[in-house]
Amino acid sequence: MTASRFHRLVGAVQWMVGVAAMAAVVMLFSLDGAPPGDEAPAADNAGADVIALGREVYSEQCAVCHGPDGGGGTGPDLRSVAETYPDPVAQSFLVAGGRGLMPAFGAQLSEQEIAAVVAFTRLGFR
Amino acid sequence: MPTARPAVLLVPLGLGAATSLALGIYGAVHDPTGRGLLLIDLGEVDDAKRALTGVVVGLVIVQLALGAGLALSQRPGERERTVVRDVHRLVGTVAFACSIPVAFHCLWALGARGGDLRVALHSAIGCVAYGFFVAKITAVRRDAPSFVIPALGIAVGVAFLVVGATAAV
Repeated sequence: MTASRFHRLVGAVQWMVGVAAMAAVVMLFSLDGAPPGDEAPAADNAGADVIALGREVYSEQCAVCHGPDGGGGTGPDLRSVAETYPDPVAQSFLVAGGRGLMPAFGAQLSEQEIAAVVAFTRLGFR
Repeated sequence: MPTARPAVLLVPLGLGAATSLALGIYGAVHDPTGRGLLLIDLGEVDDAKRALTGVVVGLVIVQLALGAGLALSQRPGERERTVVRDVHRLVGTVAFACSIPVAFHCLWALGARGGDLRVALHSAIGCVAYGFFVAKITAVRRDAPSFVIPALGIAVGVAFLVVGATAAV
């Protein structure tokens, strides 16, 4: 391959990568979290024991900021959290990783406890 | 030697700053999805990210070496087309291409967070790295003062190395 052809090839590769980068930016701003056709998440179909655990975890860890009935306080109102986060996986991720002023609970709560508290909040604090 | 004109630097630095700011704001306000786009299993995503991050870091090191070679072998301001310069462009392009899926997953699935120092540093430098990158490729296409391109090139390389070093995987 001559130097001139190599130069043109590199230019073509740069254009393709540039287009791919622009496509990634468009996707970043246009995609929501739930992949199409995903099955109903387990957190929305939790049993009574899971809800009881979720209630306990919520009282101990969350109620101080979000209020005993989820109505909010220093933290936001969680009574419509299932509408704010249609995907429970995303909500669990926020609980584990923290968000803004909310600390990360991933180190102090088990996966079961996080799933339970997410389920409890999504089922309307019943 | 070309005279330094502030306006020549204004566009690359402005675009770079806007890019960093846009990515940072997106990462801060976007609700992380906590899942991969194509690979649903986060373990598979981590494996893919680990491999791509390794490739990017390796290519960045090659790129810094090539850039140093170019800077030392040419007179200031000289922009003659050479095979080494084209290899430098190709390596940089491939490194950038490999970084796109990693950055996409970081921003879309994890968001920019400040939970601990590593995460905060990784989030902030990640956004700054792409700002430097945009500033560099814009400056290359303009009649920028001779010191600007190597300086931005070093900034891009170091920023990506720091991002790689502070990655969780």
